[in-house]
Formats: sequence, structure tokens, C-alpha cells
Amino acid sequence: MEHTVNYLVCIPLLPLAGAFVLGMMHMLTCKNPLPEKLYSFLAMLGPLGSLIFTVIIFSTLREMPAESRYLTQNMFTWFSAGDLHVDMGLFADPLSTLFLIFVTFIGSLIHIYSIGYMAGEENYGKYFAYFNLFLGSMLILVLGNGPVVMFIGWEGVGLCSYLLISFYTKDRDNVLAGNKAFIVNRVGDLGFVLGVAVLFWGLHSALGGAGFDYLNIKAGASTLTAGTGLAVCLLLFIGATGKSAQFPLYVWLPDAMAGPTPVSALIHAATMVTAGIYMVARFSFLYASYPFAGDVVAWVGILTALLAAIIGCFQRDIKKILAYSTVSQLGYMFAGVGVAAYSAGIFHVFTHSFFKALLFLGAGSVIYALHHEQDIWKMGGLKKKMPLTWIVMVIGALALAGFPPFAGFFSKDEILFMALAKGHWMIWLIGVCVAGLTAFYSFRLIFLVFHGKPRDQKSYDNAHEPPPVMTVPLIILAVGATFAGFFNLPAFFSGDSMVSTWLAPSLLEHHSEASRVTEGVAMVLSIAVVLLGIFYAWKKFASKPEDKPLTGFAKWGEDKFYVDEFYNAFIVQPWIAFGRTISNFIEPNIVDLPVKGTTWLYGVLGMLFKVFQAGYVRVYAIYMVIGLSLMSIFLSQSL
Amino acid sequence: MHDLVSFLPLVITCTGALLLMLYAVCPKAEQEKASLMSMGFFAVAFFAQLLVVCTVSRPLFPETFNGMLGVSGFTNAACLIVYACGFFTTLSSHTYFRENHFATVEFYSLLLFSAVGMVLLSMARELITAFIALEIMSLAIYVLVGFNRASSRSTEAIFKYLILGAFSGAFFCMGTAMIYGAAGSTRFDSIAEWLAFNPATTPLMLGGAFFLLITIFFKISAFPFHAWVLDVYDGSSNPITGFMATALKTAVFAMIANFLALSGNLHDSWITGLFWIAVFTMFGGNLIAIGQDNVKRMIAASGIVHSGYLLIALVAINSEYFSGAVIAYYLAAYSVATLGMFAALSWLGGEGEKRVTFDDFKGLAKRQPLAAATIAVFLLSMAGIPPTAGFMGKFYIITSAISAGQIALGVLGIISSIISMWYYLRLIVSMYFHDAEEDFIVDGSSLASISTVALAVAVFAIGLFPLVL
Amino acid sequence: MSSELLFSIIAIFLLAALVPIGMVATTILGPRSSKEKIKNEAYESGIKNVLGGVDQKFSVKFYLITILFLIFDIEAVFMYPWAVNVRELSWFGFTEMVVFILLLLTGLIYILRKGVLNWR
Repeated sequence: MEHTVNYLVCIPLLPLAGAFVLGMMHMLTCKNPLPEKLYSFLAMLGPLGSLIFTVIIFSTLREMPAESRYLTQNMFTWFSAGDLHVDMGLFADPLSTLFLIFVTFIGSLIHIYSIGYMAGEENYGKYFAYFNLFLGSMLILVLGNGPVVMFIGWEGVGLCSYLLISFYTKDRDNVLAGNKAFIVNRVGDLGFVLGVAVLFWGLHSALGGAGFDYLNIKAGASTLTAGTGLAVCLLLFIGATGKSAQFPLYVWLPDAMAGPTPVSALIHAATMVTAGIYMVARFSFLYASYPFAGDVVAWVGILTALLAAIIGCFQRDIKKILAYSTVSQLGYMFAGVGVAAYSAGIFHVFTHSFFKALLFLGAGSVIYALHHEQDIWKMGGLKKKMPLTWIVMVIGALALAGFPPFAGFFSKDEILFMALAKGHWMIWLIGVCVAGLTAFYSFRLIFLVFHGKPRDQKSYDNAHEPPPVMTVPLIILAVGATFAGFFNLPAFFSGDSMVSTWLAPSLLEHHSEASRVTEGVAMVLSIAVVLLGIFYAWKKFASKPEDKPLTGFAKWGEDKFYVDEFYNAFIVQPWIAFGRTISNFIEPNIVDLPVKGTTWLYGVLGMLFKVFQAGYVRVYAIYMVIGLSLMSIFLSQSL
Repeated sequence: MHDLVSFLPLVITCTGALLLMLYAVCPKAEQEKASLMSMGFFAVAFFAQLLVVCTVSRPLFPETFNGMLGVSGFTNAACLIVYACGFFTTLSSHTYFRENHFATVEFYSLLLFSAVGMVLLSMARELITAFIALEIMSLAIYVLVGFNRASSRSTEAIFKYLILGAFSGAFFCMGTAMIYGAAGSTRFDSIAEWLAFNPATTPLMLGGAFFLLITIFFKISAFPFHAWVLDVYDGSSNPITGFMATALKTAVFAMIANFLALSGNLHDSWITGLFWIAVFTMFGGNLIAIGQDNVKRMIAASGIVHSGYLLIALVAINSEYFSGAVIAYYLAAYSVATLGMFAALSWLGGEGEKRVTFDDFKGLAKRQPLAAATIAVFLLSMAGIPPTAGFMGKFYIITSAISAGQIALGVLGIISSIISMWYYLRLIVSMYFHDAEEDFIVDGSSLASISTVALAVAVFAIGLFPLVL
Repeated sequence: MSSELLFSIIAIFLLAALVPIGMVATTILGPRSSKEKIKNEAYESGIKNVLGGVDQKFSVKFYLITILFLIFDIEAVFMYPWAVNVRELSWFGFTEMVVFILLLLTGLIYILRKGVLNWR
């Protein structure tokens, strides 16, 4: 079977070309913008084209034998130095294809939604140019044939997130949020770069000048020494915590809400945050060999999930709640890949992308209807005004809470069950608790926003359903959030685990068997916890919610356990003080001193020499005679 | 006939000079037309020279005109540079004389005459021919320097230049006489033959070469003979300063390189002397340039420094297979940047050259971004910042010095070029980091601005195609 | 130091000494008229006061005429040796001479039209 194809490049190239064209058009017609329809039409071409090519790749891969199921395309040699040989190439296997499917699909839906949401905004063209660039970068990240090509996309999404988070540049807070996202990501990127460098250092003799791509790395991975391999795994995981918002680098994600809501949806659902999971899964052949690295990943993941879920219970901003829920769900995913249940983790990425996009876009509709009101305590009773939005949001919340038969149930339960089956019963226990918390805060949101009495009558009266261009994507996503779980129906429900089977060639996974009884008990237990969470939320918020100031632990939770303040006081401020010291004291007095001294010396010498330019011909002639005489003396020495 | 084909460009230039001289006495003569005509002559001569370079392929150093003149790849390159300098000088003169009204047709005729002298000088294979060529060139340049008779500065400049030039020119005759006394001939090939069997350190030979070099050092403004250069460059009009700084230096360097490459032992006997002259020239020039407030005087002083770099190349040449490529490349790179600088000054200087000091160019980048950008390009090239031609030129010179075993000289060259950033960047700072105090409104023809842009492109083009020469 | 160089240095100094010696010798040895003082003064082409100040002013036309005279004088000087050898140099020499004279002719035309030769 021929593995080399020439159409892979079209997938990232189409959105990138779209970004270029849109950006050019926007720059050239800044003063009198073109009609929005033109922009939205052009902006749609890239994502939809990528989606079509993704389908082609999917069907091509299906026809291949499972054990050698991949496609490659080498465009050119990017650079080659010593043993390091990097081709600009793309690589599509079942794992990347799964990512391609939901990235392009959900990306396209969010694009359509944006057409409605962003209508009438200033810089409409710029928004879609960035959006296309974002998608293109993500597709490069997913399709890159090696860590170096992946890094292009990795940085590309980092850049675009910065651009889009601070899209409303007129407000300084938005710009600061963009900066925060960029800088925090930078910390993670350093880990990633170091990890890749160490990986190459460990492998360079095994590679021997062959291309530095996944296939060769996988083939040579066994030659890594234990220490090197562990270092690579941990460093790469630092990169993943940055991109995928895990403790301690999760702080940027809640602030990333400053951008337009579709951007939040795109960042949270389809792109960017899933990059870290993808990368860990991509290097599953490494993580599988180092259980300690896996344990670190799993524990960081599950603790992040717990922390974010607790914080999420006390937030007032609808988007912040969803943001913390994303952090929490990402924690689940890491717990999954950490316990070497890669397909479960990836499957949760897949289902999560549906229901999280749905929740964000639904929240966007609410915000849109209420004219950019984001405080849930100022909403309420919207069920009557926005029935469609209510339905889809409830579906999203059920999926998020992991209630059967919605999408989140199957994927989350798979992760928890796998943790239990592999003997990580502490992780399982925390995971079940987090499930309860998740149910609690998601239904707190639903009850406060849609039930009860309107708390702000004026905006309630003006609320209305959004236009069809926004509701249609919501409906499609709601269908996805309901049924996506059935793609990977476990054997317990006499399913055939389609997604896991599909992913098997890409991942190095050891399935552990546990008894059906255990599985059943665990499942019932988690459903019970979820129901408990929903019930508690209903009791507390459905009928007579009280917006009283929070105290004690809850107050801590509302203030995000002062993690931001902690970072600010113990990392940012000392760092700034350090920089100030350098710029105020070391730079002018120590670094510049020799330079300044030299300039002063030459300045003085120059002034002295200027005196010799007396301007008199006779003086000049005397100089010549003196020079001539001196030279004659020297010459006579040589005779 | 081959002789004549090789000298076709020279014939064209000479005829052009004569025709313009006759045109000057026509009752209806106009200087603008004359400038266009001289542009044409320079352009035709340039392309004729290019044709010669491309079509006439012969061994190096064929003797022509009874051994008076010789053509080689190196002289061809030097001639091309001279013609190109002439062309761009006429372009900037055209603009310059829109605002400064002292040009006559003779100006352009003299420009062509001086080009004739320069071309002859670079091709000279005989000392008397070289002297005559030197004088043709110098006399024409003297007049051009003092062309603005109404300006006392200009008159002062020509006075100084003439007196000191005559003073130094006498040494050339003296040197020629002594070399004749030693070798029995003034022809280069005969001198080379004589040097093959006799040491170059016999008193007559050494003294003769010494006196020749004195004149050359004066013309290229090497260290103890440099003092005139600031006043003369400052006093002459902008286009002429550019022409003097580039074409004249090219021709003189071509002549002395040809002479020193005659024989290994002649060159060897001068290595120590040239070494010290080069070092003093570079650092002396730098120190003078640092103290200047006037852009023209700064460029003049930096010209001294560039002569120092070229002297490094002279130290490093190898007479066994002398091609002069390094020298020619550096000359081309330096000429392009300097001509561009003076074209820009001709364009922006305004009436009576009112903008001359660093402060006069404050905020140029805000009002005339293109002009500021091109000036920045020229300055960066002179300072030797990659990817400009100036960087490649310095790079070749320093590598050739190191491969010739002159490591100390190479290191000193690098240090000197670091020091030279001081005054080059000062103008850039003044253009880019200060607020504009005036509008820099200049009328006049666009030819100088066109040539500025063309030369700025050439800076990169030459930098990108290293050593095509 | 070689004897050759030593000799030339001595020659230079002798030369430098001879000029003042000659000048002093002529004043001492030369015939003098005691009656008319003007006869004792140096004579140079009608210019008064030769030994006096050097800042005496002349009309620039003198210089012009002198320079032009020199040029055409040298032209004639060149023609004598050519005339002697005209047969041996044959057509080549003839052409070269024609070119030379034509070049000078253009110069002559130029100065004529510029009115340099009009003594006004």
C-alpha cells in the first residue's frame, strides 16, 4: 500500500491561505471595509475544504490494513545539520485523523456561528483572518510528521490565542489577558522545546541522520536510556500543562474568556487545549515505558480536575464557570492518558469537544441575547424566552456532568473505569468526587440562568432567541453531544469500542481486564454521585436561590484559592523587581560602563585630533614633510 | 585593432569631453542639456566597457600602445567603476544644479576629462603615462572643486588642494626619475624584469618607489598626507565630492596595485611600511571622523578610514597571481555607498547646501522616509553591516589579510570598523530618533532621488553577488 | 648606508648651497653704476620692483596668454622630432600627429570662441 500522498498539505494550507487572503483584504481595505458577506464566505472555504479532505483521508485510511495505517507527505527538507535532519512533512494516522475530524468539523460549526455572533463588529475581516490562521495552525500541529513540525503549529496556536483573546484591544484588561495567555504558554513551550531537544540528544546516534519524525523516533525509542526517557516525558508534559491548562499553568485559561465567545469555544473545544493531550498520546510509546511519568501526568491531571471543579462551583461569570469546567475536564483527560488509557483520554477529548462547544456557543447565545451580560446572578427564568437554547444547554450540561446516555458519560466513565482497572483507586475516587462536583456546578448554572425568576427584568424583557445562523450549529452540536458517546460503546453495553479500535494502531496501550461486576458497580456509583450533585444543585438554586456573600471556604473558592495572587506575589513581582534591578542598576552601571568608557575615550581622542585639522595649508604641508621624514628614517633602517 | 576595441570606451569618453567643450561655446548651450549628454556618454562608455569585458578574452596584462597601457580584468573592473561613478555623479549634478546656480557646460566636459584621466591612470603600464594621466585627472578635478567661484569655501578648497597637490605631484616625477635611474626604464615590464634579478632594496629603487608612494598616499589621503581631505571635500560641491571620493580613489588604487604587483620582492619590501600606514590611516581617520559635526566632513574622514582598509588589501595582494578582485570588489562596494550618500546629499542639501550638519537631518525619517531609509542603507554598508555590499567587501579584505598571514592587520581592521559605527550610526540616530524641525521640501529634478534608490538597490545587489568582478 | 645614497645626499646639499652662493657672488662681483640707482635694479620683462613684495597684482590675462603660449609652444616642440622621423613613422605617425593637432585645434576653437584672446 502506498503511504505517500500529495493532498495532505491541502488540509492546513486551505485555512492558512484563507487567513492570508482575508488578512490582505482587511489590511488593504481598512478604511472602507468590504461587505461582511464576502468575508464570511471566504472564511468558510478554508475550514469546509479541510473538512472535505479530512473525510477523504479517513476513507483512505479505512481501506488500509490496520497495522500499517498511515499516510505521509514530505514537502521539502526544512533543515539538515549534522545528525539532525528535519523534513517539512505531514503524517496522518488514526490518531491524527480523529483529531482532524473533530477539529475541522467543530471548527467549521464555530465559523458558521461566528458569522452571526460577530455581525456588525469592527474588524470583522481581521477576526476571520485570525480564526483561519488559528485553525490552520492547529491542523499543522495535528498533522506534523515530527515534534519540530508540530512545534510550528504549537507556536501558531499560541500566537493566535494571544491575538484572539485580546481581540477587543480597546480594553486594557483584554490585552492583559492575552499577554497572560501568551506568557504562561511560553513557560510551557520552554518545556516542550527542551523535551524535544533532549529527545534528539538521546536519539541522535540511533537516528543517524534519518528524518526526525514520529516513525523514526518510535523505531529508535527503545535505545533511550531510562533517565533521558523520563526527562523527555516530564519536559514534554510541562509543555502540555501550558497548552492544555493544567496545574500549575492553568491560570491563563479562565482569563482567556476576554476574547469573543466563539473564540473561547474554539480554544476550549476544538483547538489549543487539546494539543497537550494530543502530544502526550502521540508520544504514548514513550510514556508507556515510564510508569512514573504516567503517574505524574495522572496525578497532576486529577488534582487539577478537583481544584478546577471546586473553583467552578463558586464562580459568578457564566464563561468562567465553563472555563473551569474545561480545566477540570482536561484534568480528566490527562488522568486518562496518565494511567495509560490513551484511547479513553482521546475519546473524552472527542466527546468533550462537542459538548463544550455546545455549552460555549449556548452561553454565547445567552450573552448575545442579554447584551453582553455574563453574571449568572443577573440572569434567571430565561427558559421561557429562549427554549431552544435551554434545551441545548441542558443537553450540554448533562453531557458535561456525565449522565447516561449523553456523550460525556461514556468517555468519562471509560477513564474512571480504566483508572480503577489499572489499580489507581485513589484517582478513581477523586474522579468520582469531581464528577459529583461537575454535576453540581453545571446544573447550578442551568438553574440560575434558565429557571426561577428573572433577577434583571429589563434585560430579561429584551432577551430573544439568536438568528438561525447561530442556532443551527447549536442544534448540530446538541445532536453530537447526545450521540457522540455511542461511537465508543464499551463491551459492557455490548458495544464494540469503535474509537478505541480505530485508535489502536497509533497508541501503545495495555488493556487491563476487570470483572464486569466491578465495572457495573463503578458505573452505578458514579451515576449516583452525579444524581446527587444535580439534586443538591436543584435544592439549592432551582426555587429560591440566595445571592449572599460567600464566606470561609466558599469565599476562597470564589477567589480561585488566590492562585493568581500567589503567582503574582511570588513569581511575577520578584521577577519584575529583578528586571528593574537589571535595567536600573546592572545595565547602566556594569554592562554599559566599558562601552561608555570607550565612547568617552574616543570622543576625547576625536576632539584632540580635530585640533590638528588646523585649516592652514602650511600646516598640512608640514604634516606631509614630517610624515615623509619619519618614513625616510624607517626606510633607511631597511637598507 | 584589438587595441582600439579595448580602448573604445576611453575613446568615447574623450570624444564626449571634446564635444561638450565645443558645445559649451555654442550660443544656445544649456547646462541641463549638457548634463543629459554627459549622462549619455558615461552610459555608452559603461556599456562599451561591459562589452569589452564580455567579448574580449585575452591573457592578463597584454601590452598595448607600445606597452604604455595595459588591459586586465582588474583594470576593466576599475574602468567600469569609474564610468558608473561618472554616470551617477551627472545624475546627482542634474538635481544639484537646479538649486545651486553656478553650473556651466564646462562642468560636465571637465567631468568627462577627469574620467579620461582616471581610466588612463588605471590602465597605465608606464610611469610617465601614469604621471600624465594623474595630471589630466587632477587638473580637471582642481577646476571642478573650485567651480563655485562665488563661494569662499570653495575657493579655499581649491587653493589648498592645488598647492598640496602640486607639492605632492612633484614627488611622483622624482620617484619616476629615481626608478629610471635604477632600472633603466619607466615601463612596468622592464622594471619587473630588472626586479627579477636585483633586490628592491637598492637605494634608488627604494627611494623611487617611496616617492611614488608619497604621491599616491596623498591622493588617497593616507595618514600623514590626509589633512587636506576634510577641507577640500567640504568646500567642493556635493556631486564632485562624491566623484572625488569614489572614482579618483578607484583609479589611484588601481594604478598602485598594478605597480606593487609587478614583482614579489618589490611588494615584500613595502609590507612593513604599508602595514603601519594602513593602521595609522584607519585609526587616525576614525578619530578625525568622530569629532566631526558636519556630514560631509564626516564622510570625508570616513573616506580616510576606507583608504586604510584598501591599504590592508594592498598589503595582502599576491603578485604571483594578482587579480585585484578583492580591491575591485571593495572599491565597488565603497563607491556605491559613497556615491549614494552624496546623491542623497545633493538631493536633500537644498539651496547653497544649507543642510550639512548632523542636526540638520533630524527627523528626516518622519518627513522623507524613503530618503532616510536609503541613507541608512548607505551608512550601514559603509559601516559593514550584513547583508550589504560593504560587509562583504570588508569580509573579503579581512580574510585576504588573514590568509596572507597578516592576522594583526585583520584584527585591527575589525576593531576599526567597530569604532566607525560611532559616527555612521550617529546620523541614523539623528534621522530616526529625533523629531523633525523642518519639512525637507526640496524641489529640483528627481534624477538624484532615482539614483539614490538605484544605488541603494545596488548596495544589496553587490552584496548578494559577491565577487562577480 | 651605501655610498650611492651618501653621494646623492651630498649632491643635494651642494645644490642647496650653490643657489645662495651664486646670488651673493653676483651682487659682489657684478658691475654697478653709482650714478643711476635704477640701473642697479633687477630687470624682468618690464615689471617694476622685482625684489620687492610678492603680492604685486597682475592682470589675469597675462597668465592666460602665458599658459596658452606654452601649450602651442610645446605643440611645436613635439612637431620637430616628428618631422625628422616622419618617413620612418610613416602613416601611423602621421595619423597620430593629426589626432594630436586636431585635439589642440578643438582647444583653440574653444578659447577663440570664449574670447580669451581678446585683450580688453
